[in-house]
Amino acid sequence: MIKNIWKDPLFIVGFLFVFGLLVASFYHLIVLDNEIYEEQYINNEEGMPIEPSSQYWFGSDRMGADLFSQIISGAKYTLGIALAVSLLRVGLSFLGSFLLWRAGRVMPFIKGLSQSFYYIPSALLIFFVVGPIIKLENFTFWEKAFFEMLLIIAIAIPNTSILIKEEINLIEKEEFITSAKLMGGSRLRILSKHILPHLWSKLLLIYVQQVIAVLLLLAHLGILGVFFGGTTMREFTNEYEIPASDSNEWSGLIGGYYYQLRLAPWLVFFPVFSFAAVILAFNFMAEGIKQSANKLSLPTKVKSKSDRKPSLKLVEKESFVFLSEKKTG
Amino acid sequence: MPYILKDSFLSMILSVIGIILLGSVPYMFSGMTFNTSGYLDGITEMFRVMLNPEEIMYFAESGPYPLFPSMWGIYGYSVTILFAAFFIAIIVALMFALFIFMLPSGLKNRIRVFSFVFESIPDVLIAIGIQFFIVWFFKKTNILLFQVVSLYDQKTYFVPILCLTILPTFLILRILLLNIEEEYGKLYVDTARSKGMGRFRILWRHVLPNTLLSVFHQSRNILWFMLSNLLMIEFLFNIYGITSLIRTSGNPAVFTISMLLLFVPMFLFFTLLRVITFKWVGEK
Repeated sequence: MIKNIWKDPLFIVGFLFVFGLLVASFYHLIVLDNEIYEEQYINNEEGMPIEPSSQYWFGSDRMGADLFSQIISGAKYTLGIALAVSLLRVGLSFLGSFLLWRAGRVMPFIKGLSQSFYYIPSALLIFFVVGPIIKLENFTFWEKAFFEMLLIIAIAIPNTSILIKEEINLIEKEEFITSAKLMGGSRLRILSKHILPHLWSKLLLIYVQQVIAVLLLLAHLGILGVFFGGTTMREFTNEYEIPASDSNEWSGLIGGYYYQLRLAPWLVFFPVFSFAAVILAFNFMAEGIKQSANKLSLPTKVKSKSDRKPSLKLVEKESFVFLSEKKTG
Repeated sequence: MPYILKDSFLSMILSVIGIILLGSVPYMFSGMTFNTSGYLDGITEMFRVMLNPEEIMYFAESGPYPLFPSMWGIYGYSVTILFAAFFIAIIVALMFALFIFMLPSGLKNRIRVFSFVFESIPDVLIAIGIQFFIVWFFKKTNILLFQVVSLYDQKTYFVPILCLTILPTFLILRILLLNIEEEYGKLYVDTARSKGMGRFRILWRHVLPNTLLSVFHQSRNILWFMLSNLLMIEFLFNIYGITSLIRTSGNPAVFTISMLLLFVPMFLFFTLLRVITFKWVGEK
């Protein structure tokens, strides 16, 4: 079932885009040593945020650092965070769905409680909890990033668990599960041998959708100024410092450049645009998975006449043997 | 019918409890370590405060103020924007769907691809894009199309509603197009057609009500998505709405009461939809 997606053009286009971006980003890390080209020569204040041109595709910031290479360099962190966070989200929710699988009477209560997530924008919830903690001085950057990641994972688990549990229940209604139960299959065996093979493609779809949700959340958090990647203050002139992102992680780029929105709009526009492009790519992948799953649920594909004929020849004479002539033993 | 009311009542109670539990999460962490007893104390405190909302204060630069009389204006403003955008999105998407349906199928497919691509654009990009378009237009022609940034006490409605409408419109349009197609494969359409009913009449009287049901089913997700958009738009356009209030206050009580107040109209709306659906098709 999962092999089929490699034949779907939409999935391949989306996958190649994301894969290409990651390859470029690692190429930048390994071969170019993560160096961002900075224009040092025209260091006067008028020319400094360089506008997008053929030399600087996405323009540059006030330090003269090329925005395009910053975005390429940051891609691995942003995509890495999104992929890892969603993997943990889906993995933990998968375990959670087992717990809910036989929850029975408690289920409506759990469902009702987790509904409350639908009335709170998730970016606001994270901003609200993480915001005060991130301002504290006595934690290292990694502790803060880890904490924020944990929260981003945690808020999605209740609803995703319920979603996966409902998918399991849908599969459970199929007839082959009933016959497996009648044959005396234990619960664990039915789960691993009969339910899981049908669940993988659903899980893959949920995973891709979670990646999209995490990317959107990261973009929102970037705008709100709560972001991964760490912030260092770089000296711009003698008088004042401006925040700059350590790792060029995209939501950090948005947050760092947000205050220059009026002066140099491209500095905010291009990181947001990169988010849009990657989200579009993942949407293509999600659509591809949906389409290839639909194809499988309709196996009664009408073959053309030329396809049908040779299949008649394939019927072997040995397949019709009278029982009386059948050699036993 | 009594089942629906009972079930809605249960889910209302549970959602309120859930929101209060989420609102007291800041008490759960002292620094970065879990503090379970602090969380339990926080929850009891939160319940007490929610029962006496007139006690909640928020801190402005000039000192603490009671939240309550002044909050209604802010709240009303955000809710107006949210629901106006939602209903406009439904109406516009319906009109588009009807229009697209009348087009030849080659064009239809192209529009479907276009709406799919458009739907993937993050809300942030649309809000920033519109802002820049207005500024750019102003620079070129010296005509200020709309007030871009709202100043204190001056409420702008048009631009935020416009920004908030765009994405849900595409979302609903896609749901509608997908479901209209699905409905057309069903037998009752053939029956209606064989009786000699007109194309538009079948669409309007039979197919459309059924597809609207699927939009109703999705309305909770759509509104949730719009809440996030509202947060971004209030931040980017510097609107002092309910999410800005939460952002600037940083007080768990303000967060919880605002979320509860936002919950009320949304919940009433969903319950109403359930009742309507029940009367219509007998579906629970």
